[in-house]
Amino acid sequence: MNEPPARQEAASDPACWSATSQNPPALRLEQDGTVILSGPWTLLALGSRIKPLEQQARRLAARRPEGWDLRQLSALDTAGALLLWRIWGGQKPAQLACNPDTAAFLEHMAELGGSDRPPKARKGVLDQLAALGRATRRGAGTLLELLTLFGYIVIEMVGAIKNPLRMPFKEISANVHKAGTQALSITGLVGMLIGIVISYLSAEQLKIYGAQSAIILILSIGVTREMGPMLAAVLVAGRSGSAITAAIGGMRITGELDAMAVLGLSLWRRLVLPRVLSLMVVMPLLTLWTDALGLFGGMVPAKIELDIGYMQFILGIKEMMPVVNLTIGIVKSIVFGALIALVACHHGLQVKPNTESLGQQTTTSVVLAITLVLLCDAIFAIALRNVG
Amino acid sequence: MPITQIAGEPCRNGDVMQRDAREEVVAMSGVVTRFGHHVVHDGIDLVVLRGEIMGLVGGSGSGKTTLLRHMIGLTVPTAGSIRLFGKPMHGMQGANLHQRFGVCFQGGALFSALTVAENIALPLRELRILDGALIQQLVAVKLAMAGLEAQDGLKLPAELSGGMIKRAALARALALDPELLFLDEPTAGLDPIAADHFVALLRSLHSQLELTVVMITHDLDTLVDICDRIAVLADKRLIALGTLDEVSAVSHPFIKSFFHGPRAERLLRARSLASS
Repeated sequence: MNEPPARQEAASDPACWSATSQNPPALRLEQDGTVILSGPWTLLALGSRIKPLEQQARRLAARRPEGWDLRQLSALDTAGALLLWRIWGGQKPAQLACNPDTAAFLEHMAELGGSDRPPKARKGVLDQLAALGRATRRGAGTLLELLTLFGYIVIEMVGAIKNPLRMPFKEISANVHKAGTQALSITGLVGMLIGIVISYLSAEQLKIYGAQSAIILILSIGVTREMGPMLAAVLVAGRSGSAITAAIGGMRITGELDAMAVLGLSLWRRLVLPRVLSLMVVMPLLTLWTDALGLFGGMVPAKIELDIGYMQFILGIKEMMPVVNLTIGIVKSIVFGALIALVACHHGLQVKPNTESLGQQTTTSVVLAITLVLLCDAIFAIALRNVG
Repeated sequence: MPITQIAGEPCRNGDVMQRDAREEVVAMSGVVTRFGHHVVHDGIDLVVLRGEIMGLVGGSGSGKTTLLRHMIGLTVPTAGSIRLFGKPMHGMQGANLHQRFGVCFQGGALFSALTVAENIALPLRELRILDGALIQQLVAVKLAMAGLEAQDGLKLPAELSGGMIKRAALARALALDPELLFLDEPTAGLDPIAADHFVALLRSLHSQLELTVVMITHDLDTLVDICDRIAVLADKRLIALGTLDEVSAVSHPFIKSFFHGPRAERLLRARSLASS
């Protein structure tokens, strides 16, 4: 391996082959028919000149020159050497004038870079078919794995109830703060805006039928039963779901998950259980908060458009709305919370130790969580259509 | 390349290298680093000449990596100047210098989502002057230079062993044919055989490509084997600079424990026996 130095720099001016050299890489055909290469033939010095130079050289090579003279080269690096081999069509020219160091370097480069290209993984039709099959199986597998994860959680939960000291209270409390307290402003804002929107749109229609006071029922049932839990779930899925996946996935990349396993710490108890429990605590509370602000947001247009006073609105809710609607909304939100946390943890644990996979799993986690929440909501709606 | 404005001779223990007309590839003068009230470097002058291999040693927390990060332009020192190839590293011209040096980070810092070959090809592609075929060939050359198989190019960084990660990182650092190479703990975490191979690889690359190398290392073997000069960081300063013999002659508690500890003595004795 001990090759002699390949960069023959002119001793007087060591900087002559830097990128901003006065004499750029060049080649010319002498009258005696030899091609003379001069200047620094290095990657950075060649720069954008590489294409025109190669074309010029190929034209000269096609005319079968008498010989090639490399003695005026001020520097030659791997890129320059490979370029020369390509110009020569992979064969050393019969007449090559260069000092032995350069010759040895050229030979060495041809040996390293010549035939042994890194093979590319080829993809045939069968591979694509196999990929389709794998994707299908993965989709089905995800549901099964989610169920498994749920099973682990139930086991951990039973263990934690039997022995309350094993319950990871600290983690739960931290997660409640992160997923709940810090989400108050955004859920409140969105809830209020949606309340305003629904109220304005319905007010116009209700005016036509003269059923002004129905707005109280529409808003109270719509917000507590559907909009509140739904909005809170979508926001939490986007906010906390992605955070959970990224946090657990990041632990995979840094090897922390392996460290936990080796230390005998249960991933499910330490990572998954606190997150699932905390979202189950947080979601109903956030839902109540979103409901309240949604109704508050709806009250204002009702007052402006339909002249329904605030007190009348609030008392109206108490009189007209069956409480079961609120109960359904709260129960749904608990289920949504568990779903979001389970999906997020599952995808976090699926992350492979590279950054690309982390991003991909986070995206999938949020999309799947929102989809499952909507699916679940539809099931609730159908199952409980006669209630409330 | 004329650099005459370097203030003061960096060597504390006399003129060790002949100050011939060789180019000063790295020139640091009066570098001070402070994090809040914590002073890491208090006036460091260091010159690395073209073609030499400079080893940077120091106790943990002595700011070796911080100094390296200054040199490669990732951080800016609180005071003092750093010039690479005679141009100031920090400032407008600094960006152009990045193509002239390569860095091999301690943990490899390979892009985890790309295969090894893609990692090496990335800086080449980014130049936008080479066509695909030439890039492929260059990648093959760099892989071979770093002692990797062509097959290894298809692997993802997560599938590599520790030694292979170091090699892949070296191959990527060599992608643009740099004149200057920075290595952070190139042999840390390698078994002795792998470390020896890596040192041999470095030595052959050094002579093949006429590289200038600056490396942080704890490994006495590496220091003894390939470093032309050694710079010792301690007490926020450069306490010694010179060849192994010259550095180990300096009296300082760190040098005493590093170069004259039982491990070091054993190694040096074995070496002098072997050479005699």
